[in-house]
Amino acid sequence: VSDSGPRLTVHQDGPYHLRIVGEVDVSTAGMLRRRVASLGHGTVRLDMADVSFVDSSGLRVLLGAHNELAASGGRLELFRPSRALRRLLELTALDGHLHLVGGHADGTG
Amino acid sequence: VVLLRTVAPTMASLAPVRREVAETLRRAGVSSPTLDELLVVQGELLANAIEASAGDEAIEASAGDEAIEASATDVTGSGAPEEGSAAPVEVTVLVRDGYVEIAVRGRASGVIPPVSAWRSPEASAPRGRGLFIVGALSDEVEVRQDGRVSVVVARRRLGDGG
Repeated sequence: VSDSGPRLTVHQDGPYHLRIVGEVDVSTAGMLRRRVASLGHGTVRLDMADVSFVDSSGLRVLLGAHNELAASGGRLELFRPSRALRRLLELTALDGHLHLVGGHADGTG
Repeated sequence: VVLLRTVAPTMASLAPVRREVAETLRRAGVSSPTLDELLVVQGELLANAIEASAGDEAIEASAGDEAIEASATDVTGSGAPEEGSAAPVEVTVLVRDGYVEIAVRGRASGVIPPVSAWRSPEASAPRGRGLFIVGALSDEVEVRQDGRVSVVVARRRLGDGG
């Protein structure tokens, strides 16, 4: 089975702004968690428009970051969540708990 | 359409299997968003089975919420898995008669809670969403545990949009 290219890429678009591109599963969630944690405290914005796949380990990372930032007076913003992410957030009722901003990444739903 | 894969119990197996399952479902005419949801179901079941089958070494390595870097060096091809050692995991995807069936077979790890208990955790709870998500995205889930082996089968009907 061939596996082409990196499956998760994190672009730093600003001091507190990361753009997440690709697939978040157990094998990549740790990298995402470390990159978010490395930003320190503040209002952190994650552009999630190009997250093509996410599972419960990805939700765990987002929730953990949300809780840590909130505890220190900061805030985690999920910017333009992709359809895949939105579906799981709705399913688990986390869409009412996490901060979703910037509308949808696509025209559906 | 049938896909049958036996994979090493390492989280590095997740992405390649996901690609193959996606390709199988696409060939069978399944499209988004149903396809995306089935990939989540398959991924959750496979990640659970890998965690249970990875062996003691890998479980220790996974402590501290790091990505699991399981060693696949001591995987045996057949026979009952030895206690504490890594065991291969089997993924089957079947598409027929208007439904998709995804089965994942691995080592039994403790007792899987009954399907009726797969409720959504509190919003602030860090863990425990995987099986809930599987249940919510499937029409039917069956758990079979036989000694050291456990098989979870998720079925999803294909509607007009699927």
